[in-house]
Amino acid sequence: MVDGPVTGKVASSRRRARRRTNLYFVWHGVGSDPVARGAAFLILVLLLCAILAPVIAPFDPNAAHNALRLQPPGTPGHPLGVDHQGRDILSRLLHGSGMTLLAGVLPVVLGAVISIPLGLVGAWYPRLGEIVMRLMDIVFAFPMALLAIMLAAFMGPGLLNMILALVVTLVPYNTRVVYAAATQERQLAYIEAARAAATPDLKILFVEMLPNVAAASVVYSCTIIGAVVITAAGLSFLGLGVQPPIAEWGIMTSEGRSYLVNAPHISALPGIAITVLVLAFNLVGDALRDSLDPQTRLRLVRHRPHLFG
Amino acid sequence: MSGNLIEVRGLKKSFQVTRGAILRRVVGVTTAVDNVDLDIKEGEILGCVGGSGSGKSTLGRLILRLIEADEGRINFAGRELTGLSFKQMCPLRREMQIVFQDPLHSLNPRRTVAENVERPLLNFGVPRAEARGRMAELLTMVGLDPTQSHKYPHEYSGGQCQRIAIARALALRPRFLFLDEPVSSLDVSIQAQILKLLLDLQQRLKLTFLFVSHDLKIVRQIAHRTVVMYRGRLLELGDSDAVYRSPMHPFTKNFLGTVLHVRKGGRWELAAQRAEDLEDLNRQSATHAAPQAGCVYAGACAERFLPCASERPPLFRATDDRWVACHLYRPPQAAQ
Repeated sequence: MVDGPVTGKVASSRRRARRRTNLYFVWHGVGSDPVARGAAFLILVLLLCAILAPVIAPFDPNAAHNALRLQPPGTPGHPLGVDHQGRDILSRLLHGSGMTLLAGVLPVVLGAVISIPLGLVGAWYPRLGEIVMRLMDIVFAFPMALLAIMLAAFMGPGLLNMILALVVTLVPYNTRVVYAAATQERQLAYIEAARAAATPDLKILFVEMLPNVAAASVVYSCTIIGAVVITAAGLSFLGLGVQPPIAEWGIMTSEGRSYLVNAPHISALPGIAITVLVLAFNLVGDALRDSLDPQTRLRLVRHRPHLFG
Repeated sequence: MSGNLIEVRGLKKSFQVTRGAILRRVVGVTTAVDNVDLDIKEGEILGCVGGSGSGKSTLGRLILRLIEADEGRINFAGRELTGLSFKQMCPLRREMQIVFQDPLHSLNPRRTVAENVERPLLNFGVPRAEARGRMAELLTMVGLDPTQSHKYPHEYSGGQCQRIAIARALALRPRFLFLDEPVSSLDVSIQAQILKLLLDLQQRLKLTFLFVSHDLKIVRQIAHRTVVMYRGRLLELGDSDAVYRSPMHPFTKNFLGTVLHVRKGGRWELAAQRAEDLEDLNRQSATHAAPQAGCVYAGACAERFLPCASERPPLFRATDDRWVACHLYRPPQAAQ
């Protein structure tokens, strides 16, 4: 080689020929941040609760212990107290976790699956993009909760219809995030380089651009899970979502509202549970963004070398 | 030198500034490349200089068909490029590649260096293992360590990223490279290294370059011939040495003056100031002068005379290999 300078920095760095996968960085990125680790652990616990609820719950979630109605937390046999119908709150929380996760997470995932291609294609073909985004604007004109109520009322009550209604409400938000990121991305030279190398349009969109755009959507999705859990709870409260005897945190919160003065724990405990769930997803979302981005994740892993060999 | 690799005839491109989405209407038109005829000889480095917005980058992108031309023909190695479909264009894309100004943004930040360099090869159906081998070969060729290719672009410096971009451009063994200000965003010391690398590759691989830059010194150093562009038109064309030693077009004289000041030992600020003044003046004249008739530079030209305002000068042959688009150099027999 006639010309071989400036390799000094590269050559002198430690030999690490193996390429780290995204999974490696997600694992270590989330694992190395104590807060994110705690949040991820919480989500895992919630999932376990949802799966194991029938086994670990002390009582049937709908069994009434009439003598103990409105008893506060700490009652013998009922560590989190009893609600206005004499049902054990701990058992109901455990049984409700699955439904809450389903109503909060599934619409967000489905929404992202629809809006990522929509935003990408919209950003690539400006005319189509304008039309898509104006349609989204129409949906935007309605408040999220109101639209969800309208759709759910139109389609009739039930878990599936509620999830569908939430998906429709969520798509515009996520599409806008993806669209904004993608319109910026398409200006960059690497897209033009891909075109110069005869890459077909769809391949440019879904192979070159997608990884750069998806991060924004993933993070946004994680932050919006909280709002969706609350909206789902609101729908259930209005009788449009999950039907009352079924344990679900949103319903539980709303059911306790008449007893807020005498027995605040009936509403407060599921409320706290929702808060914790939302917080956990937000924190994991942040850590996920950092560990998916090649520019920040090395710092993330390097700065905390003591946590893994 | 052998024949022409690229022949451009009557190339025209204007960008419309539109407003409104569904009822789209044009609020302004900018002519980026205006009726350009240009030959690029096989194996030469053709420098292209001009101020910002003179259409020099657009010209290169038009030749590569990254932008569609409004009018005109582009002939590449005997094949007509205009009107080819995406499929028909594919095999020709192997022959011509581009290197960008911003080295970091020209690489996909979420793909490793290896993946970035292999991408063009995989597009053309090269097996993965073979692409990997070729990638290592290419990185070595541009002076980088292939064992580090699992890293991401941001872990490399600007100069190294530009080397990677050059490696990627060379992956398909092209004959023609369009270098769009390849060293403008680099340090001066790195600039020299990259230029040396480019010159070395050009000679070894018998490449043809279209080298666009606003840095006149660099173009003079590297290019065999230089073409001067102003507001989408070619104003002067000739051997680099000749163009720089004795500029003919009034614009070239003025433009080169920004550099000559430095060479006379004048201060940098003076040259920068002059460049800015020139740019300002041009912008003003651009808005005032009617662009339809007459010389594009007439509004700011110190030597203009009657025909400049009414008739647009074509490229006149001034001497053997010099072409100037200025009425001052109109040959006598063509005057009537």
